[in-house]
Amino acid sequence: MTEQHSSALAGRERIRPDRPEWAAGDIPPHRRPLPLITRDALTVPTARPTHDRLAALDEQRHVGTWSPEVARLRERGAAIRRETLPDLEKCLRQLTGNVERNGGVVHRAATPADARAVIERIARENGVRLAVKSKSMATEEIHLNSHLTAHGIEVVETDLGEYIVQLADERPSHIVAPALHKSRQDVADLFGQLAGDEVSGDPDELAAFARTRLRADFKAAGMGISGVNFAAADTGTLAIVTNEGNADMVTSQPRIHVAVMTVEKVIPRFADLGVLIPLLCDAATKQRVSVYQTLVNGPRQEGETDGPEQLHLVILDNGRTKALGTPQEEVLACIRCGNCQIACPVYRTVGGGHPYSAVYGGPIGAVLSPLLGEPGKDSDLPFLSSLCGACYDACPVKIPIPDLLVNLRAEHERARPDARTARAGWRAWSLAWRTGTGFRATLAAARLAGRLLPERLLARLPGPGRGWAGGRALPPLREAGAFRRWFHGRDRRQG
Amino acid sequence: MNDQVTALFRDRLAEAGGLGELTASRDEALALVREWAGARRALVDEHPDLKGLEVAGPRPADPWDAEVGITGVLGAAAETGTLAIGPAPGRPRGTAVLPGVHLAVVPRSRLYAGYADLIAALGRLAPMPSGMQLVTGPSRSGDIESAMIQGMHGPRAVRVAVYPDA
Repeated sequence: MTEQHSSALAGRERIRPDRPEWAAGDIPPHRRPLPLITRDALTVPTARPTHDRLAALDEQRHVGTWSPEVARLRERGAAIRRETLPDLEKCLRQLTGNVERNGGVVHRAATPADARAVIERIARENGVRLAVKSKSMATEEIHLNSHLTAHGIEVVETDLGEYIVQLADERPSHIVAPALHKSRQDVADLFGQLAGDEVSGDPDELAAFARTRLRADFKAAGMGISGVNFAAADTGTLAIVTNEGNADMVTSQPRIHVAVMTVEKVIPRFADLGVLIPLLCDAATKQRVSVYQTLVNGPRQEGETDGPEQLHLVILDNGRTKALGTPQEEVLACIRCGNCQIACPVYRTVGGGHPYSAVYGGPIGAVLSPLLGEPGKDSDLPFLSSLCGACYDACPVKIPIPDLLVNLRAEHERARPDARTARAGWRAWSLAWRTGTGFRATLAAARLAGRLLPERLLARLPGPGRGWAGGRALPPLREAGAFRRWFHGRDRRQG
Repeated sequence: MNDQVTALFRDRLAEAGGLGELTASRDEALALVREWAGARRALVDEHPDLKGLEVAGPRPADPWDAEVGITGVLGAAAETGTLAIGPAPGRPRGTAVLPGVHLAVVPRSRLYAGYADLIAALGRLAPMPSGMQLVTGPSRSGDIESAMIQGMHGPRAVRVAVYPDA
């Protein structure tokens, strides 16, 4: 078998990346403070149209409401997703045993580095030069593409949205609709640069352009990499859900299939797919079921003419099992439908997931990301929420996302270096406001401060203070107590 | 043949962008498939339900060159219009994915009412095949401005003939 270079990526050097640093495929290691990034995000030209597209989806799909049939699935799905949590390790052992019995090889990876190393080794040992990938958030989490590319292995994203963001050197901005922040004209411009030729903005023609290029890669690739939506412990079946059919290609045509899952994707029984797949599809795209559910039981059997010769399953932890037994373990029930992202007014306003500067954006990203990677990283994400509760209503497995956000905020505050001073301050405030005199005194003090401090104080702070102040606004202190004054004045006026 | 379940299958498959026809016998179903296939290059699975099917078109040497793929099914679900296909010797995974058109025959005895019923039936297969493809209508994508594009990587047309058996 001869493996050539990717056809789908040919011409990539002609693409002029046009995106903010915080949208990059690989997140910069030392990101700027969130208020600065979100302030920038509002000024990016794609922010407003993305907001409008998300708001339209929210309305069309009546996000947060459930038909009676789906409401029943939701109750059952929520229970099934929590069944594995008390003894996740037992379920993973059962899954591992069954995948191995079916002829697959299972690799456990504690960290992203472990997972990258395993996949690179499989590719190297089999002389793989080109890998085709169907959509997988787990591989985003381990930054697999840049790792394999650095080791001389080309990786091509084959989901249309993922292909678009790969060409643009960006991350997916939504869990199931990765290129939701791009207009058809943005895509036409991108494909035009790739082809070195004019490309029409008609979605059908854009899809045809991608299909032709990607088809050559499906045929040529030595390795297929996929994610896993659900892994049934009792049969060792890996279920992958798509609409495009790329998972069917990726898992059947290359001679090696590597499936990457995170620990919580395990489900107790094969039969649970009958509940979880329709539930996922309703929440993700308002379909009864997606076009394709690819169920992988093992490598090709004797006498079969296609299907992979080797099946590898990589099971990644990356900090998740630390949440078991804590209130945060609820986040492990997530089935990655992306519905909470569409429902979230903050996510919509900042133009999608990029400004969260983490692999997972939106409400679920704000509770999941702080669990992953090194302690303290992304611990400020839970503040990117208004706690309105729309994410809970939109969640097909009833994860109490607002509660989890509040827990994480408390943790973030406790871990502040000045936590003790801050606590003393809050306590003093609480004491002061317990009496009317104390309350009125603080209002007077605020008004005085408002008169004495220069206007636009925050903008005039020196050095690092200015960085902190960017994206923040001081309330109009001179107006402190204005409502009370008006209210009492009204009493007097009415005599 | 026009019971509620088959009618639901036809309607739900149509909703997903596919076409379902309810025929009176297996011979009629095969004749319909032959007509749908025309003279195009076709892959035909070695499946007992397709026994005796002769299509006019040639069998391509390379499956990637096929225009039509013809399969039997492990089962189907009326509630969603879903087909379940399993690989075996003589039934490669590519038949339902590589060509632009997918044609299938479904015996009434393997058409289940609910999607969960189909999943339960697949779960009872012993041994399970090395993989299973569940297909509901033509391939599609909504990745560009949520506009529905029909025919992404998989077939752009799916046609199914249902026939009564036993």
